[in-house]
Amino acid sequence: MIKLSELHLGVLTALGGIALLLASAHFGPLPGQAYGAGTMPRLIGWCSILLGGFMIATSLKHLPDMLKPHLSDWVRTPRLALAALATLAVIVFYILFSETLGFIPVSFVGLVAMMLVLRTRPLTAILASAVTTLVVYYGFSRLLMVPLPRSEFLSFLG
Amino acid sequence: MLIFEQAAGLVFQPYVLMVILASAAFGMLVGAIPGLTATMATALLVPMTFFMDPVPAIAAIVTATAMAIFAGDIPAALLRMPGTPANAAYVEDAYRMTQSGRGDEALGAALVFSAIGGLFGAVVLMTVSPTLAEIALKFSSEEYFWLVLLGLSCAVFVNPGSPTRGLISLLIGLFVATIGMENPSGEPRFSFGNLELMAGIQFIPAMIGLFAVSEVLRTVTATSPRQKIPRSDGGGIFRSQWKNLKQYPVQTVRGSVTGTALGILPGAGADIAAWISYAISKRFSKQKAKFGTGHVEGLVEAGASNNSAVSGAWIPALVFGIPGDSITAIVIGVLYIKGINPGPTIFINDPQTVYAIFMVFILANLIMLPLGWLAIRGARPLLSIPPSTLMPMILMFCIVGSFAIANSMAGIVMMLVFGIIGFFMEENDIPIAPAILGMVLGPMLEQNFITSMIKGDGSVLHFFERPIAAGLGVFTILIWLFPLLMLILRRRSKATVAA
Repeated sequence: MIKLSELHLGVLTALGGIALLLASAHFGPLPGQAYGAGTMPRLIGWCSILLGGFMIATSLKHLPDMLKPHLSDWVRTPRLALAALATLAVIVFYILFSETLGFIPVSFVGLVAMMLVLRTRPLTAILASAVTTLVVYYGFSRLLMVPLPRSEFLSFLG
Repeated sequence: MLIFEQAAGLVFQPYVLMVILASAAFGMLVGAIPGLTATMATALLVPMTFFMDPVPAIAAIVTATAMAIFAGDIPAALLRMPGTPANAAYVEDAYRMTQSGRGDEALGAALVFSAIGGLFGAVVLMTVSPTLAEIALKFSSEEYFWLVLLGLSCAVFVNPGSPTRGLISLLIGLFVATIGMENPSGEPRFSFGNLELMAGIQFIPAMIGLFAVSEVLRTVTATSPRQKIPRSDGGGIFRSQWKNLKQYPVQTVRGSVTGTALGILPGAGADIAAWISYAISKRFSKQKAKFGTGHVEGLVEAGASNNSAVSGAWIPALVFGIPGDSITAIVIGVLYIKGINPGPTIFINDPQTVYAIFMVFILANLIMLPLGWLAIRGARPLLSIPPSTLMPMILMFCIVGSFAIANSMAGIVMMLVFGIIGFFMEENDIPIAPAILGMVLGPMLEQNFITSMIKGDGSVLHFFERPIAAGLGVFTILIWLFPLLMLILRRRSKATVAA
């Protein structure tokens, strides 16, 4: 991931503040009052602009160093970058497929895949994923009555 | 007396006691795993507490938090990896004690003095809260406005990192709190027509994302390899503690008092308390040079301090509804979900629940001793589980936990988004705690600000018209001016040196 300098963060904060001011421009006040839904977002917007401005001003002294963003060490290591991607991919995979395939297969496949990417031994990955999936499934769906997504072809499990 | 009996009836039930035991084990597990914080234990526990009555739900959180903070000392002593940030202050001493064959003494000191600190904080919580609540009943929107602003200010300026980054975090939290229809005019804000967003950001999935998912990402991208665990040195963990207690009574009391006081301060928590207590211990020690070389003195004081801060943080949470740290910020969310409004009226409307919480604190710190002993004995196999197997398991708990809050995929999407935000913030040294406090206190700040402005007809001076409000206001402004003052003084001294 990109590590931003004080200057970059200052610019981003100030831009965020401007965006917030623009986005909250249409919020009307309470009837008969000067304040309403727009008051707080506008205050946050102004504070962001002031803070961003302060950060930009204080970082101008170190300008050459501040201009270049740095990459985190893990981004340059393919194995670790893949691990980060796998973590996010498991969540996205669950969001996209759990409703149609059901909790058990999606959880099991997601866990095995992530463990393999993180270099767990295949047999350990399969066993640990199976145990985790079943513990989570029975714990949440049976004990806590959470309606976890269910698939028809694995309905015999619960 | 009747209230006390009712409270005891709420706590001493087989179900509640079982919940306390189970959450103690859970807290131990999370705390003992390096990188997983007490806040993460709380965030992961919340989906479970969703299905419990208020007392077992709070009992689960109180117990798990106290246990997690102690258990964080186990990897600190064995692997030089503090289990939670609250254990980082004295990690060097604990680890060096293990290396020199005094590992059991180090872990015993961490356990015993954590329990003492926790009990001290619980007694202060029990005695101070009702009196403070009586005073707080007289508070109006102006006092609450300043109190909230004071809490947010402390979160920014007490943090060890840069105040500007703390402020960015706070502004992010305050912005997130504005999303949805919960505002003075009930107008949808920043929801883009999305029904889920109109109801506001779901607090618990956001919490799980910011703390747990970001931590999973941080762990799987860590570049440093894991260390091997040294064998037990065979000494009993309680053997030297009586001697330590007799040798360091002042340090024990001072650590407990400092921790409780810092816990009460909104925005500060166990992490900061441990660092400050360790520094105080070193400053007043007769053996300053021994600190950091495997000396137990700092461990005694900071160990008592971090756990007493956990109890202290509940005082502003219960009395004013203002969290003392990120854990109580989550707790306040849980209390609201349970239909309990934290604040002075809770002592009138629901006193049995309040006294039940007090009892839980005492109970949690007492059972910490036998359970802690078990945890120390069982920690070695647990610490051998590689993160490559453990992190995916935790991730699955996060996913299901976020789904369980509203039985909707929107919770998981929010968790994902906040997980990425949390990871980005951590990578850029932006602290997460101010954002959490901003999210929790944002609506309270907005409501009290607008009410006060309407009452005062737009006059800012109205915020200083009542004596307590004026005092709180001046104190808050001084906190904001302090960094500026320091900057001017530093520049002036530099100019003098240059001249």
